[in-house]
Amino acid sequence: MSGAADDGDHARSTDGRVVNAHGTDIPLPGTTVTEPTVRGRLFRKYVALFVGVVAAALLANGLFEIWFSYREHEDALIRIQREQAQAAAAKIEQFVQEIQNQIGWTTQLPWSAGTLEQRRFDALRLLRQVPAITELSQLDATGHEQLRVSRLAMDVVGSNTDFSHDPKFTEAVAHKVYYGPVYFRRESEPYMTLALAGTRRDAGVSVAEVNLKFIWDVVSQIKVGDKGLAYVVDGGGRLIAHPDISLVLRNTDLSRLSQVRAARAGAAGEAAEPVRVARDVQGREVLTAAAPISPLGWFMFVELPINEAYAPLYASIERSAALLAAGLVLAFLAALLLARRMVVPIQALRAGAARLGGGDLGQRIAIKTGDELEALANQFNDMAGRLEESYADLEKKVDDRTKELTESLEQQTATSEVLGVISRSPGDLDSVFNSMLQNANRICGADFGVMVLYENEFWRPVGLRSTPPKFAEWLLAEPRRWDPETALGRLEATKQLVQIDDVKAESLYHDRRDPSRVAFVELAGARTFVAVPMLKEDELIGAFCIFRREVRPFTGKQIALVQSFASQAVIAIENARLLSELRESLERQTATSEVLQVISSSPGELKPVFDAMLVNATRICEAAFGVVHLRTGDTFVSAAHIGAPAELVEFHRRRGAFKPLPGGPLDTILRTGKVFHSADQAADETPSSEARLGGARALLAVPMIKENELLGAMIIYRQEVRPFGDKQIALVESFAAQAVIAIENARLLGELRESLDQQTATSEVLHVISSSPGELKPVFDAMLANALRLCEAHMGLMVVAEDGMFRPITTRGVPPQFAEFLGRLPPFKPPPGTGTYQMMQEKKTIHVPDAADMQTYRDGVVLAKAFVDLGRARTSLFVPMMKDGEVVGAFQIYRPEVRPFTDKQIAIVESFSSQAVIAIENARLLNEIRTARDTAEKALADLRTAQASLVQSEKMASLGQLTAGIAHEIKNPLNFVNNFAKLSVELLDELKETAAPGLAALDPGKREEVDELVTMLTGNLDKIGEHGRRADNIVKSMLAHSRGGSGDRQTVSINALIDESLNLAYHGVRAQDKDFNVTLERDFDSTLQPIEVVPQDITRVFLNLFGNGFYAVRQRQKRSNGGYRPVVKVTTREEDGRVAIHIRDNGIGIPPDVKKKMFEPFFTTKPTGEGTGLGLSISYDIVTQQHGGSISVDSQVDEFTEFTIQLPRNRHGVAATT
Amino acid sequence: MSVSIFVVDDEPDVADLFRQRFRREMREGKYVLHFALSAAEALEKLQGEIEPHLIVMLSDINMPGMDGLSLLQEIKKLRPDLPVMMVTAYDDAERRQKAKAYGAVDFLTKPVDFDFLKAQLSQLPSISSA
Repeated sequence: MSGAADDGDHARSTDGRVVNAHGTDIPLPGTTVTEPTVRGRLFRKYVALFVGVVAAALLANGLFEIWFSYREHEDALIRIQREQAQAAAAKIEQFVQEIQNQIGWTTQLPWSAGTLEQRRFDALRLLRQVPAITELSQLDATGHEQLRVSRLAMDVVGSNTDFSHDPKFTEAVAHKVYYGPVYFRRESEPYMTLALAGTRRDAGVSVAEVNLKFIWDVVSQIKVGDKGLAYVVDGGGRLIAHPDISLVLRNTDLSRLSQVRAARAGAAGEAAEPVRVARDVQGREVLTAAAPISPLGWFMFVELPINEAYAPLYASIERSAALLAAGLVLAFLAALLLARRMVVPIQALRAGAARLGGGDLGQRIAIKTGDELEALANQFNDMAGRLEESYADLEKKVDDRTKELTESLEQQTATSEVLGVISRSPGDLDSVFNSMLQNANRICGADFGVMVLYENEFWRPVGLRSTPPKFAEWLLAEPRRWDPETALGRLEATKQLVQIDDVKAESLYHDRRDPSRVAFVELAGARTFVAVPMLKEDELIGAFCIFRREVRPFTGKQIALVQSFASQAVIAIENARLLSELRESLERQTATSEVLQVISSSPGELKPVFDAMLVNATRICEAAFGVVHLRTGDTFVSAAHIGAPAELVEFHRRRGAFKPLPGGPLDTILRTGKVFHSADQAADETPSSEARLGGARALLAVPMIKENELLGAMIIYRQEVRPFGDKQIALVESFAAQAVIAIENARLLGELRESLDQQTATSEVLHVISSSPGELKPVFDAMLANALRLCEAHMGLMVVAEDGMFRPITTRGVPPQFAEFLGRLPPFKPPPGTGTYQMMQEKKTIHVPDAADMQTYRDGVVLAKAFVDLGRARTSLFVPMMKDGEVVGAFQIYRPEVRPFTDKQIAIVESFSSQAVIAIENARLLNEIRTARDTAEKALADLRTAQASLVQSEKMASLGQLTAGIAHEIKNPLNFVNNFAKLSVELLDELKETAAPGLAALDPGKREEVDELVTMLTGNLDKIGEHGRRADNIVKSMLAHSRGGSGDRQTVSINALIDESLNLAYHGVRAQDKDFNVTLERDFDSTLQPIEVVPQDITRVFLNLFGNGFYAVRQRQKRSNGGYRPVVKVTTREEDGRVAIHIRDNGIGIPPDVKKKMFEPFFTTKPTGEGTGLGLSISYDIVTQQHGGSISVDSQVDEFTEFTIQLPRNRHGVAATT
Repeated sequence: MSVSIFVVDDEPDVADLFRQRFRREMREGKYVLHFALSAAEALEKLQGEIEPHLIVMLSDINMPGMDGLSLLQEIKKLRPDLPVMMVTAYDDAERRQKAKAYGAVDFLTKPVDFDFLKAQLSQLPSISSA
């Protein structure tokens, strides 16, 4: 059972059933039981348990049996094998021992005693007796072979071969016996050498070669099972004998096998566990047993393949398994049977319990097992019986309770209905009372009901339900007092519930005939009556009455219901009161917040604020209209109207500022500073405009006061005589206070805006000043524009005064006609009496209220008339610009209407005026500084030019002096060269003449020789002369260079000079090279005026430059292949007081490095003899120093070269002083 | 009837040049040439007799020691009537002017144009008178 009780006691299982301690399910109402699931579970558990137990027992038994039979079997096999091995070993031992004994005989004789022959016979005999010995040899005590007898060879006697170092001798002598290693003869028969020493000292050693075939026979005879075998291994682990002789012949080494290792270890005395299972030489798993062959140190092994050894064991295991399976099947069948017997009654019990649980209490469980299960079933049956009984009892009780509940529910429904009505219609008391009465009547079984309120000792009916009409009429006629004897009277006195069982039976009706009681009985037909007081904190506020037309007293419950209604009525009344208060308050707050919102949304604007205030004030105070008056000094102005009749508004508008009517509301407020409230204004002696035009009766005037100063008043009017309530007055007062704040805010905002405007304007002007330093026009424009804007003026002028004469420099907003007038106006002296004149005289700002009202205008002064008539100037402002106490100009600002400028406006124009003065002064200073700077810069530039020229000229001058010195020094020797050369030619001529007769006498050969010599000498001298002249030319050029400035200045035409030079140069080149051709382009400025130059020197410059140009194009022409067209172009221009000459050729051009040095003396690019290197240097001197001009060059290699010479017309700067 | 010409120049080769140039005239006995290598030597020779009659002195200007222009002044003190020609490589206005002021009859530039010189010599009064 334990397996089934896992769910625990009465735990709710996941599938929604309650399971008891016995593992049976009790189905819950509404759930169905799934039988097979439960049955299967318990049943399976039992079956599994039985099968498991039996199977475990059988298995354990089988396994033990197998294990032990295996062990025993193995031990038995090993034992048999070992015995076999030991037997075989013993056989082999015996075989060897016997041979040894036989040989022993041969060693008994000493060598001295017997003859060799004797020994031979002994040996032969031995061979016969022991077939295993194949050969026997005898060694004497010294190890020399004396005799050898063999089956295979001839006997040898006395060979005397020395074996003294052979192991078979040494080992035998040492150990008496020696077993040699196994070896093979004829590739198949195993042999071993066996040597035995005699016991005597000189006995010598007998050596026998033993055939070991016997051992092989022994081994082959051993049979172990089918495939088992035996083999022998020597002390070194080598295989000696094996049924498979081939293994032996291959000299197989078995020492690595585990069983061999173990056996060897055992023989060596080591504690080694004999190996039972191992691998044989073929690698099969075998059962193995070993036995030592003691004198030889060999081992005998017997082995059986393991599968063969265990074959019977496996058969036994199979049998056991079959048995086990059979046992399991049996156990399973038994388990099925047992489980079935256990589960069936439990099922029956469970089904019965389920039915009981399902409510079928009449059913009984029938189990006749006679054990605990039957007892359990009986207990269930008893339980069901008792349950049946208690059910019947319970049903009766439920009926009673249901009845009570219905009643109570009815009452609660009524109450909740009443409460629903209360909550649905808050503040609506009629429907609440109505609903209460209706419910009270219905539930209490009353015929009608009345609800009366107690107010100041009077009772006022407020609710009637099903009341007979006549009685209702009587009741509603008026609030009335009740006699203390009456029910309400008693209730009034005691504040306690009053019930009268029969009103008709009381003396009040019979004897006293109390009218109310009579009305009760006769008008309403009431008999039984209950009045329940309505108390609010012990204060009587009314009564709840219900009536029956029959005498039947109301039950306690019914009265309690009425009482509860009464107290709810109290709450409802109270709620209604609170609600109405709340609404009022909300309304006021809404109004206030609306006003505040208007204030905040229109800052600075007062009209919407006043409008909103008046709208709210008139609405909440139920006033007809309202007015706001603002105070200025002693007068007031009506600033806002709401709801006022149009006539009144119009009247107020026309009235403008007014003094308050003495004794009137404004006057009173002005005097007292307090609220003025009048219920009927019409009662006053003099009716106010509001009374006359607006029909005002009641009025409420509230002052708007700021720090004890009256700013204005808010007045609301009613057109009927009805005073305003306190709350209403308070509301208007709060509006007035807010109005004060709004007015103050508007004022501050206005000031702030104004100040901001002025600051913005000032900063704009300052910005203009700073961004256009030295320029006055934009500054004045900005000033004037800002001044006009801030002063709300239409026209403005800025004038400057120079020597008392005024002249406008900037105008703005000037009408076209007036602008025309001003344009024609010369600088003027302000006529006396004008604003400008006054300003000049007084040196301060003049504010003219109305230009049209001045004497000058009336007198027809032109200027004054023009300003007013053409410029529409009325209110005018003249602000002087003062510098060092003098008027240097003025701002003149005009308005087209008569409206004075405020102090602030005047102040801002004055500040502009002083800024203007500063700006003018700054501009003047700036211009001075600029002029000074320009002058200084120009001077500096001139100085730099002069300095550069000086440096260059100094450089050139020193070079020139040097050149001149050199020239003179060369010139003298050169003169000699030239002179003597020339002279020598003459002398030769003379010689020829003088020697002519002598020569004629000579033979022709000699004469010819002399002639030839003379001719050669003459030629040489000519060459000397020629080169001398060349040198002379150079020297002359140098001298001319140094001389400079010697020529006279003349006024010449540059064009003519160039033309002449060009032709000269061209023909000079043509004279040297007939093939030379060049296109000469002349671009002369025909308007060029003659200029003063030194004509020779300038011509020299031109010749030089043209020569260079021709040279350049010739060089290029030489290099080109025909497509080249040489051009030299000359351009002259008049340029800014200079004559510019451009000489351009399209020759080879000048590389930059050459350009740097080309003006230096002796620098030339021409081959030796073609140029002196002085041409450009001289030209430079002539142009720059002699003529104060400049020479520059622009060039592109293989493109062009252009020299530009500029000659000034008025020479200043460096003069040619050389 | 030969006359003397006195040439002062610090260059010794000037003597050879003049001798060769005037070789015909000398051969014909027309002129005898005298030379001095410095102003001092010239003045010394002038102190003594110069045979035959000295008709003209030719002097270089640039010379070590006393220069030609100073020599001219000295000569004019000794022999105011003696015509002196200045021969120089420096052809400039200043020297020309000074030479003229000091009483030089001519101002020749080197290299000397001998044809021109011979023509000038033939114009000299003493020759014409001779």
